[in-house]
Amino acid sequence: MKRVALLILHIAIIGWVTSVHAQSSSSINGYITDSETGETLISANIALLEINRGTSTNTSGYYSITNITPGTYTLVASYIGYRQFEQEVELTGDETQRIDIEMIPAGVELEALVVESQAEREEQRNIGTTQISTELIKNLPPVIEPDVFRSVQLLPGVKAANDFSSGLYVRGGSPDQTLILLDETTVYNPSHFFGFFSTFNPDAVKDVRLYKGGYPASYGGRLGSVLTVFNKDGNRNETRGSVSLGLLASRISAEGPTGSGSWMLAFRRSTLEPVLAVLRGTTDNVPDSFYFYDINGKLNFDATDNDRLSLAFYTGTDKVLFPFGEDASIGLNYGNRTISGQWRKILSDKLFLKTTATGSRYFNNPEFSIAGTQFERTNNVYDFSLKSDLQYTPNEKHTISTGFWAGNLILRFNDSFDNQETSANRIQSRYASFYLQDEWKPANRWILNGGVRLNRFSEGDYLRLAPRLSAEFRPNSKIRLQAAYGRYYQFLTLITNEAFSGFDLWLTTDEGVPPAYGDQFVLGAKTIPFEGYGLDIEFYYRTMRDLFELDPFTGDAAGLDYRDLFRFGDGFAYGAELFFEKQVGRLTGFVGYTFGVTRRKFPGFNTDITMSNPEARFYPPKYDRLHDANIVLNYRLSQRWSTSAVFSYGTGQAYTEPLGRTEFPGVPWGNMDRESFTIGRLNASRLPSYHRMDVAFSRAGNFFGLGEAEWSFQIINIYSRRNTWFYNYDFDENPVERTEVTLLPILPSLSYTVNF
Amino acid sequence: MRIHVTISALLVLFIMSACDVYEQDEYQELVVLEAYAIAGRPLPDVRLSTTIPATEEYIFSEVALSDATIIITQLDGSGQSLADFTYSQQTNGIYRAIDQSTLVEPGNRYRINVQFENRQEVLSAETVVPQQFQILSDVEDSYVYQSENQLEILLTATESNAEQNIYVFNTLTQEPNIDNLTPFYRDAVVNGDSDIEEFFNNSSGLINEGNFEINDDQNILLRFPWIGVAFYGENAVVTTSVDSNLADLALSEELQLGGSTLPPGEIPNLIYNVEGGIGVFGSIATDTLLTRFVRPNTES
Repeated sequence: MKRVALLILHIAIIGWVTSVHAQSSSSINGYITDSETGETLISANIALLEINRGTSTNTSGYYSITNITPGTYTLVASYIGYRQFEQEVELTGDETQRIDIEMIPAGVELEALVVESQAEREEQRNIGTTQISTELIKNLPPVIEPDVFRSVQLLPGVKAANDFSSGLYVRGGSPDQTLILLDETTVYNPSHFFGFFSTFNPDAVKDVRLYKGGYPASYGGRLGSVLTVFNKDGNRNETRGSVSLGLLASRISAEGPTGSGSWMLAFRRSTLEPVLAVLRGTTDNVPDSFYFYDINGKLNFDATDNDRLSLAFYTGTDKVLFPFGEDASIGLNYGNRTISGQWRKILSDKLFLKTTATGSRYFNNPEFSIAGTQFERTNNVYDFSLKSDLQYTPNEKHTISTGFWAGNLILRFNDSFDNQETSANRIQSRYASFYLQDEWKPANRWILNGGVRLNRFSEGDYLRLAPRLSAEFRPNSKIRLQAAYGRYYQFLTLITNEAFSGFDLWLTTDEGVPPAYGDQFVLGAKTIPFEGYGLDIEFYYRTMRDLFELDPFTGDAAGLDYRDLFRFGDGFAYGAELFFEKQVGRLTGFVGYTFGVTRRKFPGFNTDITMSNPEARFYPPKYDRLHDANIVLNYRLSQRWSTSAVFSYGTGQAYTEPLGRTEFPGVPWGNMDRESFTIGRLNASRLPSYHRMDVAFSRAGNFFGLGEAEWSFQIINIYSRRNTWFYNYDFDENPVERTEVTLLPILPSLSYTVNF
Repeated sequence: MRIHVTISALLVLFIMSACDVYEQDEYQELVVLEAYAIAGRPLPDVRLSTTIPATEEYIFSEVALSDATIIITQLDGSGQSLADFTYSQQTNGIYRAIDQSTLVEPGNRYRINVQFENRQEVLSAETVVPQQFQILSDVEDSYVYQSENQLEILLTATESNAEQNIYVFNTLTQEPNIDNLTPFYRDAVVNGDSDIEEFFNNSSGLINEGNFEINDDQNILLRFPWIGVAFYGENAVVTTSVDSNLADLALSEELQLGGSTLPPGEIPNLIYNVEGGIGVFGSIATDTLLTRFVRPNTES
């Protein structure tokens, strides 16, 4: 009897599987691009209206909708800033239709964009993810130059350390907890001008996406977040270019079609030399030489309808030679080089493969010469890798992604003092990650995403498994409720200084130096309260364990074991973010608010010195701000004129208020008395609140009929609020004098851009 | 609309409940101990005082502590007492060992204990005196400043009580005159805001033994960097080996003044290694050579 039952069950299963395959099913796939430039559009939405089945394009601009019952449908595609695309599609049995869609930019419209489709406005706003448009980056009043990172700093959950730094402090994490990728390649020091700007040229950038937290298994290697930047592919239809002249730097870019593809080249260079030359005649200690430049380029080649190849590169350098005093000078030469070659292949209507080879180099070579004594360092990071991602869409309910990323990382730094090599270090580590994730839509209103990432790092021989899970429920078309959990590992740590990123140094795990790890929990809701508006809220909680960073009390590292360079600690962060945006009409913009708390604890640090055997206590790092808000507004006054404004407010950053003082006059070397403070709780005081308003005005016009032109006039800190950076204590005075070091004053700026 | 009201209410509740209280604490007066044992010299003077609030003027005589009972104990390898040395008060806050004939022995461990008649604090600390070393190198009478011929210091190898020895190099000018300043330091005094007195005793800061060349005979060779020479003319070049207590204090004091990887405004306490109070009970071993640094293109 049992055997008969099993046989019947077996036949039923075969019959069911057969019947599934016996039904006719069709699919459609293709690329979605900008009709004017041919640029692929990332996370564009596409759907079949009648059956409400849709998806969004991946980072290659590719989409695929499978397992469609044959019939006639309305194919609708939408993307912010573009007119909605509609086309009738007729699918017969077992057919795969390749439909490449060219979307028309919406253009300048003074009336509100009409929003009709249910999928309209539904960007890929997954949990913890924010996209920032290149238009926003260019339209915001810039601190001298439009900058990608400074625009990202305006988003909720992202803080800036100070006006001089473009570093990203995301959800309580330090900048090294954010993975920065340019065209899939890691960038190790994405800054120019000592951290003032990022290395990303807004003219070259196509897409900027920040995964603030709870990021999926396809990414890894950092505790906190991921920022992906994709450069433009190049205009596939016509040759275009632009020139922009500014006070600090100028840019020139060009792009155009090739026989079967496109190219893009963008160059940016500082233009401070005339100013420095004038200053040298009247002022001491002016740099002998100071410049930075960067070049972005990309070449695309469509080998076949299903095979696309691209080659992208970036090179950038900062160089300064600065005399200070008699017989003393400082020189610094640092920068990045990246290159990536990618092959995108449509294997079938269900399979999309992307393979990328990357190379990244960061170098940093400071030199000091003081009274005939040389201090030199050569610091290089080389990272060569191969990664591959396969996307499999078996049916309408599952999208399975899998892939690997493997590479060789070399950190090499040598120090010499007085022409003698004092330390030579070479750390070589092979790394590999493998991930598997499935996006499952069990029902119309549910999306579940589960994945796992396996990481291996050879320095220390570490193997770590990181699960990821997220869920989304849509009670109606205007509300998305989201939750996510993930475990994250980090095998690198960055030695940096908030005030100056020019000497950044990366170090890795090793035997006795385990990787840092942490868990993230995120809850959120993305809503559309009214048409053309968005209101998002997210709550997050993060743990940070086994944080390893250079022990500030190490001093001279010569002769020390590698493990002894570090201190190991813990941390946590939690908060809530609110994001309200208006997307249509003359007036657009957003309001972002963050409530955030972050803490760290390291052994022997922040202890109560009045107690014997004191324990370390949690303390807030300097960049901890309880409340942070940004209001960003863009208003189109007319066809020619537009204006934008940014108002930023934050409660005070943490700082340490010295409580007591004493002297040690008997130290048996040196002439001066050794002064010192006694401290209670570290960073238990708060600086005054920070607030600043920036405005910009732009006028569009024509450059002698050769192309469109735009004048842009900006004022940073329009009411010249002297925000406090930190307090400085002068022990030469008795009692000690405290002085305030302030941030940027009012700063006007002018730029002129021509597009041809 | 209801979902937005709910979310807003949740946000407000979250913020109110999650507000972290990390309050600034109050100033607390602490007893400060300062003493430095030097190998081959009499037991060190001890200086006792209290801290004052950071905003007040520091005058040692007003914070010096009297009526303390101080004992320094010499310990053997197992921590047992070999000898006790008592102290008497010299002036307010300054105490001196009654026995001035006993010399500090290199490589030995000493413990200090401080108690007060009119205070409840009891302070204690220990130091291990660095091993005595010698400067072996033949020193020339003079060296031309920033020439190829650089002063070389060859030190006898000594066993370290820590992972490695830590050194400090000082030049003590015997001809302190503004006209004798070398160019970099002259610029700092004349055009900067430095006082000439700061450079009478010019220090290299802490340097780990790991920076030096180790010869086949295990002696240590250091080429004295020109940056250490603040004055032309006759200089005493002092090489000092420093114990871990003193190294901790000096390193953390420099860190407190700024620099390193700590962001501006984040100020840690110094590392004190003193129980019951703060300060330092440190020790050193030294050796000295004399030479002249002459101006370039000048006959010696």
